[in-house]
Amino acid sequence: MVIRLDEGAGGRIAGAHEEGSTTIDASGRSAPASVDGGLGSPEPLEILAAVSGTAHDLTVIQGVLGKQVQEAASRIRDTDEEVAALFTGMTEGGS
Amino acid sequence: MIDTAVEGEVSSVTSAATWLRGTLAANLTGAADDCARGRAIASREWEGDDATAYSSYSRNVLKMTDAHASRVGRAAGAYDAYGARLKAMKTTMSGVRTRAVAGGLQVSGDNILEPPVVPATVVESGSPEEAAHLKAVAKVDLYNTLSGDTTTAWTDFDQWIQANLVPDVADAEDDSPVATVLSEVDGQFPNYAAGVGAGLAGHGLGSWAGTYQDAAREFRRRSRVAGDPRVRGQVKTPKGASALDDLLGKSRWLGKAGKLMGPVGVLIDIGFGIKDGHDTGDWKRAAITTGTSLAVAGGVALYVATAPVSVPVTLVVVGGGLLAAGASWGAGKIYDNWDDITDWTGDRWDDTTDLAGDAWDGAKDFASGAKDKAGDAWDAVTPW
Repeated sequence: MVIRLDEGAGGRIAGAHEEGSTTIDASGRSAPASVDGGLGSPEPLEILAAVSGTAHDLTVIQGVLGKQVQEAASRIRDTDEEVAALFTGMTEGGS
Repeated sequence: MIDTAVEGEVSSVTSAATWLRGTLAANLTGAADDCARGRAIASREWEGDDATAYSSYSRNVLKMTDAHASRVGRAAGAYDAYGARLKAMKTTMSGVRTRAVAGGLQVSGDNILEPPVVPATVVESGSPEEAAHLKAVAKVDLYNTLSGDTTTAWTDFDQWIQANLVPDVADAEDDSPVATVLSEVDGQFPNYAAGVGAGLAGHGLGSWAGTYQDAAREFRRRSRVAGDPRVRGQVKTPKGASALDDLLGKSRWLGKAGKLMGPVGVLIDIGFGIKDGHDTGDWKRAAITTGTSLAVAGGVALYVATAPVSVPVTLVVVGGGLLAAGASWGAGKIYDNWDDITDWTGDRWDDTTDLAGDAWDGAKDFASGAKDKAGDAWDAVTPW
């Protein structure tokens, strides 16, 4: 069994996913207020609604993935420290 | 009146396409790159079952993001195509207006006004009056042709939307893997999902998606209740479209026939009467038949004057022409049999007059039927 997470790796991985989430969401800043398509207006608007909605969902999914990686890194670190504490205590007690 | 206005702005459609391709699809690709970057870091610096689980899950996220970037690219393509189709529709309607102006029809803004009714008067062949009459009939023919072309253009436009944009909507809405993953994420992190939904600085895509959906729903609602035929999409109505096609087809054919059988037909009948008198020396018969034509033509003029202005005038004209021809034929028939009639019994006299009466009634019924049919069909396609 191998368990390894290099120092700072969790933060960089999580940062990449959070950046991805922010990048998608930033698209909303320049989104068209509406589309004046005449007779065919409903379909273009429905297309826009669908792809924007799915993009929003991906914003959430990428953002949550970043948070999960942070959580995983934190738990790995905590677990590592807990396990380390067993030996640290013995060493301290024996000194 | 023919309304040639085409609502919608091509620039609005193309700028949305630009945003889809240049911003949303590009940012999704960027987000996929970010995801790939995280995975690359993990592959080098993270080991264990937890790293394997992350790798599997993040691979799905990467695939979904890439797939959606492609989907948005196709949506941009749909916008490009629709923008081009909308532009072509505007060009078509502009061409209809240009033809109307060239043909002497009155155009007010986007509306082509209905030409005046052509009076069924007797005109001399080759005279300025005949030239004016033919010119007026040509305007009616052009108006009917442009009505047909406009209806065809709207029908084609609507069919194009149904054939192209409706499948594009289905493609854009095909987000089942994303929806499945989101429902799991939302269950684990409800507060986070809600927070991202609010967006950054009020520019969240989730908010925009709701705005667009509401706008589309409102457009469809207005389409159902609005009186504007362009918004209501009246050409979608099969009854309306077929009634108009039927009417236009008939009026085009009758328009050609009307030039021969309308008031000009009366002149031809008079000309044949004169020739008949000259050839046979029997001017009495010619006077009776041509006199009947003139009498009926007077009635036709009255009939035209009382006809609804919205009825295509060529229908009225040809109806009048047949009325005159039928009456003249009946009068000639009576005259030809006059000697026999006076010798025969009263029953035979009744048969002969019935024949003339039938011809008269038949001609009148045709004209009346043509008028009613034209009126009904016209009303059916102009409910506003």
